[in-house]
Amino acid sequence: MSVIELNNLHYHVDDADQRLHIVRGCDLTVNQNESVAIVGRSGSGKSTLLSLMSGLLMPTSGEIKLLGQSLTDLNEDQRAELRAGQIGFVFQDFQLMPAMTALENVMMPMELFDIPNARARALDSLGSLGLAERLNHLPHQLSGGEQQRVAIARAWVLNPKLIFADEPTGNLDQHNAQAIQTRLLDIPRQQEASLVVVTHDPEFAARCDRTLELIDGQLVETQR
Amino acid sequence: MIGIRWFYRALRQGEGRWLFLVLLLASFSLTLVGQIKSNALSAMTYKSEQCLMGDIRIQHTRPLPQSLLDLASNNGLKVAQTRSTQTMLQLNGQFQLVQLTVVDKNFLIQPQGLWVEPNVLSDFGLQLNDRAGIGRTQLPITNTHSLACSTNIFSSFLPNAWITEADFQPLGLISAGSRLTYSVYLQGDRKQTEAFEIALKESNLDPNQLWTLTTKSTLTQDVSQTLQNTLSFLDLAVLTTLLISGLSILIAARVQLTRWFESLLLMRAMGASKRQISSVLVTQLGLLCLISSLLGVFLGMIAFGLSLDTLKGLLGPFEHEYRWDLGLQSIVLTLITLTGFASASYFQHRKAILKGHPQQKATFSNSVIMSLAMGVLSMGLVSLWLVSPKLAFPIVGALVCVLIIFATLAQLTLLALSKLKTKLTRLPKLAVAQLLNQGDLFRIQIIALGSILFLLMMLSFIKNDLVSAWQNSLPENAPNAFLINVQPFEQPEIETLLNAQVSDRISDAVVRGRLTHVNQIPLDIQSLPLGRGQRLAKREANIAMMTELPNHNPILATQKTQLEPDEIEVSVEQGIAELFGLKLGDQLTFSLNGFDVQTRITSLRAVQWQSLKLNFFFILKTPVNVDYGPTYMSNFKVDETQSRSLQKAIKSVSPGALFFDVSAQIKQVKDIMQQASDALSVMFYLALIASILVVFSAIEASSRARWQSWWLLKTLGAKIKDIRGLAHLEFIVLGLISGIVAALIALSSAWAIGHWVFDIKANLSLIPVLMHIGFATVLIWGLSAIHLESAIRLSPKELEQKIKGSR
Repeated sequence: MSVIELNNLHYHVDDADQRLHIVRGCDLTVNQNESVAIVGRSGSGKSTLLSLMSGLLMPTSGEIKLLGQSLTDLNEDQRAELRAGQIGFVFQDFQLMPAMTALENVMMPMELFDIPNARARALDSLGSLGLAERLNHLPHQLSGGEQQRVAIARAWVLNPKLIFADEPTGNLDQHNAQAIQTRLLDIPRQQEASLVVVTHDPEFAARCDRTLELIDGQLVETQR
Repeated sequence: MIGIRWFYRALRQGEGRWLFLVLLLASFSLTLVGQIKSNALSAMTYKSEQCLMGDIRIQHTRPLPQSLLDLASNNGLKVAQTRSTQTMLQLNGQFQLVQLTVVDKNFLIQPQGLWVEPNVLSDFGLQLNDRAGIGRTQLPITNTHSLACSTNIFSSFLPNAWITEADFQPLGLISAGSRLTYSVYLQGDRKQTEAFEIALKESNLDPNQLWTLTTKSTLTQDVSQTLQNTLSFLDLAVLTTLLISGLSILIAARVQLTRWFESLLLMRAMGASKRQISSVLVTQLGLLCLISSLLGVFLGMIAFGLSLDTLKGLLGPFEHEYRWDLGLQSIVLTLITLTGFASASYFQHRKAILKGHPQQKATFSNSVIMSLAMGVLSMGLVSLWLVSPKLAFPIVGALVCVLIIFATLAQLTLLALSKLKTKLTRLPKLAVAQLLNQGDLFRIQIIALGSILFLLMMLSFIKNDLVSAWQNSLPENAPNAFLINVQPFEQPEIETLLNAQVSDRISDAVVRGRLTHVNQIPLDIQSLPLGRGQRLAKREANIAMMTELPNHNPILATQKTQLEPDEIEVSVEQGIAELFGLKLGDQLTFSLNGFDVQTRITSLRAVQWQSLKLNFFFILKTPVNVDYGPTYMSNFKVDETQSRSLQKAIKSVSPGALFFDVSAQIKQVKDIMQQASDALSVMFYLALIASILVVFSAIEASSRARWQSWWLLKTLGAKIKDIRGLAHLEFIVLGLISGIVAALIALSSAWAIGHWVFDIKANLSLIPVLMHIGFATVLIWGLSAIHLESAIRLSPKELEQKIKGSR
């Protein structure tokens, strides 16, 4: 069963004097429990493609089906509703709320969407990521690796069907990066979820089920 | 050069536009407010000048010395002199007491023959060139002249007539014992008159201060107080505008310096020297300030030009002038304000850049405190420049207190919100977290918004109190006519006549008299205070006789005393009691038409002299004693259309009575008060507009952090209504906290300023406080909602691009 389907996806932006084609006719299917890495040169449009897949950005043309629903048929709020609770995000710069503790950051999406047992689930999630001792610490009191683990806990806690990770290890040292990669790759294996990760790290990409390279706006499957 | 090139490129890209806008606003407001203030004062003194027939008038009951005239001439003033006396004119077979003014050749009008006020002709059925009898001489009435207004309501009851020295001399009216008032009128520009006033004080020409000096700004007690209060309020408004701009600069300069931080850090990393870094920063800020201030001055002048018609509609006709010196002053004051409010932030950033410490920019708590301290210092400087020390010191003192209170409150609120956050869920929790996200910015917002609301509320309270004080001093039903010199036998018929035609009538019996002894000791005039004290003691006063004290004089103190058999109770006006050193229980001896009357003070009264009601320094609590030779005095409100017919009817009953219609004088005072009130409104709304822009700047300054959170929430699946709810909740909390504290501090400050500076009783009540808290909340919430709505509706990706664009 597919969780993402891209059909002939196009996206361009009009610059001052030229049209920049960032995505040109991409086709892709991501299946349940699959981990997919998207690689490419800087500025090739990887993050834009991730935004298109997650419904944060609408394509110029083509079709995106996310969790079986065509995103082009949905308005902003409906797309937000689709993301809520079903899709998790992990970012390069963690994106934690600075005034909230680790526990509060993980509870935040559940409280926002009125999901019961928020505290217990957040405690469980953070504990499983080895952060049981850091629950009441604010983001600036945590190391980069710990912050990213909190971000993963936040993405994971809702048992999403799909996790998007944009350069999740880009700001981490090698030791922490490997630990985070392992945690992320555990998700499709341990729960019914898929992982789409944008990365520059060939090692991380190699650990995923599939690797796709974005070249001139088109996705090319990398042979292993 | 790097600084200039950078500045040029940054300007083209729109960088620094926010600080540019704030500086522009500061100089714009200063210029516009300064222009309005300067011209509003011109407008308000315009009528005074018309009334005074000169810039300064000095009056005395004896000839004024040549040394005074020389002093005026030496200061470049034009000098004219008059002598006035009261005399009878024979007009068409009837006699009329008039105020006859004899003018010298330099006076504003030069009558040939006799000039009179127009109503003299109509009242006596005369035409121009008809003759009037003065003593044994008949002079033609060659023209009429209207006084633009009265310079003193109570001395201008008599119709006026003018004559030249040449025509007056042969009449032989002046002899030993004649009572004359000598006046000197001086004309010149502002600098000359100010220099003269200083020179006059220093010359000690009037050691006993017996001369009455009237300037355009001290025309009458009412008008003078009104002008003085208006001037103080305008000063306050100018200072408020500058303070508001300063707080705005504090926010905008921080934001701008933070934006430049990374580029300058890079420059330093590439080897830029300390001097080069400082030079780039100073050049950027200096050019930004200079260009924005110049533009602000220019726009301020244009705005003033555009508002001239409205201003003239509000303030009445006046000769407007563009004061470019005020423009220069605005630029200098803007620079001082920028230096004060931005310097701490500047030094903090500079230090961090020179150390190449990228984390330093995150810890600016100390710089907030330093910025405020430096800002207050610069405010102290500009306050002394702009306003009188009497107003500057309390304002700056109050500002320091307010800033400390707000800073403490902001800190306490942060702590309280941190505790509260753990107990909240969903949107309230997010809203609180949002406020806590940037602790420094939250502190600045509370301090800036609270201070602005405080200043606005204080202006509003003072303005309302001032206006109501003025309205109370001349209520709608204030009497507009006086009737004096009615003989006791005529009074019953006069009362019947008045009861039929007028309203709000008061009639009292009065006798001319003088205080001669206090507790059996002769009144020592020389021991009394110079000026008013000695003048009042020397002259005869109207002393009333009545069995019940008037309702419109509140009793301040009473004392029951056993009276001697020949003693009468006397009630004394509090002011004159203080002036003469009189107290309850003192025995006063009056000389009333040759009778020595013993009295004892049994009460002290407050008198509102501006009310125009019949008021007396001394009231004998006794039935009317005809032996003392009393006459009756009345005042009342008469319809303008009935005034003439009433006067004729009164004349037929009491030929010796004098009727004075003071409607015109009341209108003059009311006009000036109305203009002053309008000027206050203009100033208040200008400060309000400036404040609204500052609220925008505070919202703008924290926008980036807010967008960042929204982007995250939207990405995680929050809907537009969730984000909107979060934003509204956040600003309602911010508005409420700022509003409550600002209202309480503003109320207490307004009371203090009203009491000590404007000498008015502030109106303390809960409703306006609640209204202001509501206003503050709605202002901050409403402006935020308007300002942020477009960002709320953006898709996550568009919001992300907006955040990147704001870096």
